[in-house]
Amino acid sequence: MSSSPHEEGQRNGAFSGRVTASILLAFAALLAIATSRIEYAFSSDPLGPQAFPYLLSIALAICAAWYFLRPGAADPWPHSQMLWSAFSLIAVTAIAVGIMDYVGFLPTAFIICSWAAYLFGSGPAGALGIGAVQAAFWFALFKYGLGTYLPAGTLFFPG
Amino acid sequence: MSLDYLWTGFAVALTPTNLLYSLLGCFLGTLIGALPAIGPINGIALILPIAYTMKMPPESCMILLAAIYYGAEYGGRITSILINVPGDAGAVMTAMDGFPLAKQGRGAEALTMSALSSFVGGILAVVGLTFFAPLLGLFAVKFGPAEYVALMVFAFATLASMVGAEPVKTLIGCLIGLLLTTIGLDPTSGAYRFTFDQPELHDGIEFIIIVIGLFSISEILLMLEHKFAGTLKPIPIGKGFPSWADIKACWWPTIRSSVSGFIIGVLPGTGASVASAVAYTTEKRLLDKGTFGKGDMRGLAAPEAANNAAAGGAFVPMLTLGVPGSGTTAVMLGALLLYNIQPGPQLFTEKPELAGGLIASMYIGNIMLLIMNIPMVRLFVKMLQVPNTWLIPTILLLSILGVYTAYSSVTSVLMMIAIGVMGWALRKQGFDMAPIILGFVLGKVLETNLRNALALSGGEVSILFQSTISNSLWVMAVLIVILPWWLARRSRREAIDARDHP
Repeated sequence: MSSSPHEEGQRNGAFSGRVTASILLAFAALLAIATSRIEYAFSSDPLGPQAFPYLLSIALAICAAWYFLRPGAADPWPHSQMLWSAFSLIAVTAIAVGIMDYVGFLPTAFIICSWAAYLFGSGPAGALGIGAVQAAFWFALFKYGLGTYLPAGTLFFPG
Repeated sequence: MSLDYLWTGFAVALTPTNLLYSLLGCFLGTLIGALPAIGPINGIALILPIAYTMKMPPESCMILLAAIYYGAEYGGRITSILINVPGDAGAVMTAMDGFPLAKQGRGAEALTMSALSSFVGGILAVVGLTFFAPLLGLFAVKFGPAEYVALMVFAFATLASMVGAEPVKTLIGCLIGLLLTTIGLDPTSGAYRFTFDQPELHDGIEFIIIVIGLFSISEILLMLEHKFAGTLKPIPIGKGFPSWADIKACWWPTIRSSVSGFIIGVLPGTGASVASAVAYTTEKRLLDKGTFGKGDMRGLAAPEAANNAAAGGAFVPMLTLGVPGSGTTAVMLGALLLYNIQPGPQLFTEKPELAGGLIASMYIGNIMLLIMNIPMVRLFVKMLQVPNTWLIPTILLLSILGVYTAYSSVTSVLMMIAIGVMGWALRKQGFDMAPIILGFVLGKVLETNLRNALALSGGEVSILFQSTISNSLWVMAVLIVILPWWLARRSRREAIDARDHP
């Protein structure tokens, strides 16, 4: 017999909620360790720079433990093809942004927009066209219309 | 206080040149506000040198800059409602119910309602500025660290409204927001916290990086998921004007939020983001029957009225005391000093054409913005009909541009992407983004003022309960938690009584 969406949500929530809770618990512990390593010569107030982060790490640990025990419902995690697409969108965007100062804004924007358009259903040629138009339009608006700084790219314009 | 300065002001503001500057400022402000992260502060910083070089008279310059400021508060809501990318910090809460409304095909109604509530908030703030400016200026001075702590506790008390079926997720969200505020240089001790020797983290993580990451990037990933699931459908535009029932339902939330937004705006260091967060959570606490966050007009009207009222309120300490109420008014204060004008109470008597002209232009500007915005709703909302193959790359690129143009740093953009992925993962787990934002907005102010208060008192906690203002806020904080719970309990008991003893 197939389970109801509510039951499925509860099951999904129980597993992924516990994974999230474990990550949060580990994060709370790391936070407490990082807080103990904060260096300061003196503080003009009685609390100092460590009190607030310590308080937060304790509160987070308690909440994460509570969440681990009662994880509640959550959306089902997407299938592998979608996860791969999401990963590729994030990776392509991050890499393109990472090289923006080197190659300049225009190629970066072109890559990001083309890939996003492709993932959202455009054909390869259409995606490249969308990338080119978007990159040129926003570059012109921000650079010449609003006068904001956008990198030209040290690769093409050294110095 | 005599209102002679205001009549002089209207004579100045109604000259054709100043009307034109007002119109230009409103238009530019709306555009600047709609573009993520450009914001009023950058818009004003961009226009000020041009205005000064053109030898514009000080009153015309201030009229232009002020119009950009409140125009941006109007404009910030457009992308917030339509594509879930807040145009500026004050428009973050607008997305909470604005975007769900747009997804339901009520984008045009939402834009019209937000324009109306922005207008009411803006006008009430100018009325407050006209009649109570010097008085409120003195009130703002009485706000010391202890009063700010009480105010922040009151704001956190309103967070109780967000505790839904899974309160632990709300708490964790709030803690994540608070934790993000601890990154960077601690101003009290000079210690670097959680910067891991990365210079980019020395100033902490900027609000706009968090907002764009949590809202825009996570939204794109969710849309990608819907695309694969085949549930990404074109959004209908809907009719343009909200129903009379909606307007009636939004009336009191708009008035209440305008008043609270104006008062919060008067206090230096708080601003539109705190004002809209407090307004939203307060209304949710008072009115929500499970519809807030799912597309409730009242949840849209309240923060919109509050952020526009806060923008008006921020002028009070600037004009009466020379203390800027927000980052944007700090730049405007710089503009006054550039013209060798010293703000203060005497400004109203010594330079009535400037103080009066500015205030009069705000009445005119708000009317202009309403007239300009209502017919443009149909145009703005066309954004929703842009195919996803064009719209998503636009949102993604605007998010990157928003952060990069604000901080000129690739690391900031990468941080925004990382925060977006975190936001997506949390949203998949059923976490709401509002508590994270609220924790972040209020956390820094709370910690800094708590520590300053304790430093002043030598560690005596009693300093937090020594003034009438802070005690009133503590009482209000307790009431806002207890009262709705008590009222709900009473009505449940009455319902049981009515059932048992018909």
